[in-house]
Amino acid sequence: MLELLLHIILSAASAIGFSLITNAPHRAAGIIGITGSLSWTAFWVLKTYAHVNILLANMIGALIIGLLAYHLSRKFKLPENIIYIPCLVNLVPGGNAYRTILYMVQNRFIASLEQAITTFLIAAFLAVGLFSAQYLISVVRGIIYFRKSKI
Amino acid sequence: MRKMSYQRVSEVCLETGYLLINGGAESYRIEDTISRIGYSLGHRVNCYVTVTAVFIEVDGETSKFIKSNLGGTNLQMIDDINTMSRKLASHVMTPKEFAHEIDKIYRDKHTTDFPFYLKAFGAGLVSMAPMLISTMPVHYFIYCFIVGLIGYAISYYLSKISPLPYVDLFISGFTIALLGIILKDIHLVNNYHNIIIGAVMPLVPGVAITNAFRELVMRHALSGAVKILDAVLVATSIGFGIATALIIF
Repeated sequence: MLELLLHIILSAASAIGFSLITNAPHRAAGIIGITGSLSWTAFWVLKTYAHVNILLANMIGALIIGLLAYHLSRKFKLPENIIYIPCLVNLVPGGNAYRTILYMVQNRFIASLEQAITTFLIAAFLAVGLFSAQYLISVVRGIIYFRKSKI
Repeated sequence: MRKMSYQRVSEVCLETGYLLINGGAESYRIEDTISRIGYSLGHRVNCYVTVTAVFIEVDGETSKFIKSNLGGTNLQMIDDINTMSRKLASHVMTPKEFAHEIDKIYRDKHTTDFPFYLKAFGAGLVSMAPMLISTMPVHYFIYCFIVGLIGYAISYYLSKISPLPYVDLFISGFTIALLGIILKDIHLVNNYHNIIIGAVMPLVPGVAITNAFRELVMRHALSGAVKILDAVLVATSIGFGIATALIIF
């Protein structure tokens, strides 16, 4: 339980920290913190307790970011990318990228290649999650529009 | 309401595009914003945005283009211009005021900015990455905070001193790895890998990668490919900095 609390606090802090680096507007800080911590906590709970495949967990984390960014950016009149750029920093596969370089230095090329492929796959699935959020939204909007125009 | 002249509209739109590119917006969004601004100024504006240039045609009369550079992120600028164009569309702001404001931002080349100590503090917060929680004791996060702050400060100052890209990231990656190894040698930590992973996080090209993927998906293949190449180069230069430190020591 304490660990879960630590996860929530640290992920919010790191999302807000990245928003400070990229000079995001002041009024967006709270929104960014909530979105970042929700997406990371969902990813971590899925990975640790539900034992979901790490690629699928990453995809769901990115999906949550995409949906929340769409909703909150419309609500608070912010551009969408202000919300999802700082939130995605938690999910970036930094550990795998580091291990790629580390094994390369230690002349363990096969292990290095494995880590490189994992890094690429995780990044690709993050993109898939973001895009499927966009796609879901456009499908829902299309259905609503279609129904209204028929009646 | 008197219409603005073609020349003035094309100038304003070009400056807006330039500022948005420097702020780090995606190209399809820039095209959308510019044509909306042109519509609210009373003209039909055609534009084409690549990652280093903006082409604009107003009412088929004048066409112009402006060059821009890759890199740099300023989300505040995107938000400012977005708010201004929304005000313009709802007639809260007159076209003359809008043009004046854009000119002002374009001349100064920056908007309100956080002071350096706050940015460095933010970099320290990013370095305490939540992915490391179960792999090391909690008090190690203090070392992560300090090392990440130093690494970010070095890259910040070097990028101000010299215009050459990538070298500042190489040097700050080298310094981070060096600090991690020193912390292990004086027996403060017993494993420096996690410290390095955390401290590198503020330098990771997250913005470039996300934007690049979104642009590729929206079929802006040219700017997407250029941005992916840039992100790979940034990541490689950080990685080679770390690798150099690990090889030497």
